[in-house]
Amino acid sequence: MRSTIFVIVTIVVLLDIWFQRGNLVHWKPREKLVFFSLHLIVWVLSMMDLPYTPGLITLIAAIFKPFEGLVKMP
Amino acid sequence: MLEQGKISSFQMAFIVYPIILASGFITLPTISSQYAGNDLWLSSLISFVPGMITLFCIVRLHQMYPRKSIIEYSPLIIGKIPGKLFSFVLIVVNLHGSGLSIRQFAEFVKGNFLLKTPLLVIMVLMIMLSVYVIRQGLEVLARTAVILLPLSIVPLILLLLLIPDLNPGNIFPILSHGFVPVLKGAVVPQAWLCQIYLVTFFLPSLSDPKKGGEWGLIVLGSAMVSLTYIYLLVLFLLGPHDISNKNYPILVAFRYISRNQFFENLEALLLAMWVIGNFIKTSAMFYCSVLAIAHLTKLSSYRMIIIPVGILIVILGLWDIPGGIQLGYQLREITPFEIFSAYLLLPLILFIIAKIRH
Repeated sequence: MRSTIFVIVTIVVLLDIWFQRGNLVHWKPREKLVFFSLHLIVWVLSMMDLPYTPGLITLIAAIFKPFEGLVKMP
Repeated sequence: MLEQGKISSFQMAFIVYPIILASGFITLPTISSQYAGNDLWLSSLISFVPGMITLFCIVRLHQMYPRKSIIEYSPLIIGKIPGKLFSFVLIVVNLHGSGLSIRQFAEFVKGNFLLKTPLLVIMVLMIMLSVYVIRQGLEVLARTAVILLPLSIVPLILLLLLIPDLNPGNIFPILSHGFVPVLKGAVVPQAWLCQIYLVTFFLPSLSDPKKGGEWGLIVLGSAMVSLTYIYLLVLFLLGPHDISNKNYPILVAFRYISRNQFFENLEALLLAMWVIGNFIKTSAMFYCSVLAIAHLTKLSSYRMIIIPVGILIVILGLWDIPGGIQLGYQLREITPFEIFSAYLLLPLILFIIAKIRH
């Protein structure tokens, strides 16, 4: 699944940049920065073995660990 | 304002109802009954209270800062840098919620209907549809919700065909284990009802903002009534033990319907309802995420970031979730606290600070 996601995301990112190229000249530097940063973030993330890479869920689980006991299965 | 389109409070209600309950119908009965047993219906009544507190805070904050969403007024209340950090947390939680919601949808469809279709295909198709709707703007999203939502509610009425098979005696004994299991059973549904917080992104675009709170309350009330109806129905049909050991008791209920050898195999209707409800839910949550990011980064239009945010939502739906078991654990034991903190506690703190400053 890893390479499938990477290939799909790469194609979509390139297509989006290609279709927006006409608008890019009218955008402010801040807007260009946000646009390319978001594309870069998703492209880098797509290279990972997503289901088995610790991420947000591990982080949030660590934050809320103390409350786990409240809903521990009977 | 980033969003030029205007919708009515009535249309907002049609968008928000599936945000709360589109996925809740399927998964919540099992989770609540695992804790509360035959008292699960009381859990849904209790979960109304946190939802109401969330709605109260959001509506009052909007009255203090009209035509602004929480991302815009939080820096005005708590200062620029804390406000931006606060907004960032809300955006991450919202994106994460969207990812989990789309993954939950895909798991259900793949697990029960499209057995050989890859998970990724289901998720990507749904997000593509949402991308199309959001690019058209809020008005199109609202009209889509108004047209499609009634179609997704009809199957719930068909569940009344089960009346001859129901055993109302399953509701007894009430509160045999005390009130604590009921409260534990309410932990997950209250998180679903706290998602009413997302009205903060629709209130600034209302043509009749004074009715926003009123319609928010109507949505919350109807969500609670619908949830209680589903809880009671599966309880009367299956009994507390059979609900808790089934992944999707409502699917079992639909499969159980058999009247005059004509009304049979109605689970296809459940899938239709599930797809429509989740399509509106995904689109609305996606819209809120995109609008929030555009507000935070002060973009001139939110349309430029729709595609990368769409990809990000699919990635968040896959990231750190190897399978359905981990997804179930996440939804049962982590998401309730995450949503409670981000959608209820944070706006409540913001409201208290705003009230003091006013």
